[in-house]
Amino acid sequence: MGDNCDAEVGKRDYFDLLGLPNEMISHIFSFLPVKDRMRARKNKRLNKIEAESKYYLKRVDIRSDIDSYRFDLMRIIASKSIIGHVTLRFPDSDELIRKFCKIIKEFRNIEELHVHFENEDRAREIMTDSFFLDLSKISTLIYIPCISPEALYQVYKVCKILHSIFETEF
Amino acid sequence: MVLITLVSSDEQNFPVERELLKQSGTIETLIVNMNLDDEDTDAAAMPIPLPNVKGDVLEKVIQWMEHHKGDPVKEGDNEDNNAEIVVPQWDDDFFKPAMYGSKHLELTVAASYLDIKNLLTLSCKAISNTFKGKTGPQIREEWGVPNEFTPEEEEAIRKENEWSE
Repeated sequence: MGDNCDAEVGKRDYFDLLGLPNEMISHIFSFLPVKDRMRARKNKRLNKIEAESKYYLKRVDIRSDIDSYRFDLMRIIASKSIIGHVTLRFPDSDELIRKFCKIIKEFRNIEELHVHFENEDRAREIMTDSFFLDLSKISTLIYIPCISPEALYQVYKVCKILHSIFETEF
Repeated sequence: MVLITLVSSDEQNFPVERELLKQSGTIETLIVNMNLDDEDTDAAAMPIPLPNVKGDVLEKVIQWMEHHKGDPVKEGDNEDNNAEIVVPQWDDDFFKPAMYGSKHLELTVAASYLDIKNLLTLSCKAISNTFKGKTGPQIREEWGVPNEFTPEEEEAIRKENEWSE
């Protein structure tokens, strides 16, 4: 693109967004929904500022039809977000399950986590106490199906310390 | 009514109602440090210089503070729900005429310097609203952002963005 911005700046009164310090651009980005914030990454500096900004997301749905690009992006967002409500729908394929387990551990701060499974046997396999324990570290409120009483007890002991609340259906 | 005089960088004097200045963290600190609230201090004889704010910008800031007189000033930085903040109609009309001009930028910078949290929040929110629903080329044009990505980098970003569509 042949931009003639330099020539134009002299001519008209201009809001020089890029003349603002990074902190202020980051502050402006904090008001944008993810979609628009992602789209605002229009040069290397804006990209870097976006990458370093924190997020608050109201709701995130992680579904089984997720592809690798989305995994990368999810990882970026996971580490710097506070998320109100996460729904995690576990897929029924070994490869994806491994990826799901990995990515959920990247999250740092979830207020409410809902976990769903397509297959109940699979659920018992995944919901071992150590994995559940990891979940209880990142989320304050967890809704989860199919967890064994033993696993739940293990987690309960830790949750007392972490002040987590959880509900389960047997 | 106690008046306090603010002096802009171009040496214009602005007598402002004491009460209004509670909205500015920077000025509030100065008032306290200079003991301007004491009964035996002659506040009118002690103008506050603001070397970083031009007169026309300060005038806008005061106008904004007058409209928002008595609004609660929020404590600390709570960025939790920024995406959901709504710019009230009055403020939107107040910002709009200068939105893409240098005046809005100066107002935003002044809000930051004077530590007027509510003004900074609404002003930044108004700027962020101009990004909403815009295509890449539109943002580039409106905000004068030249493209410096390689086609490969641009493609990677485009694919990432698809996730959020």
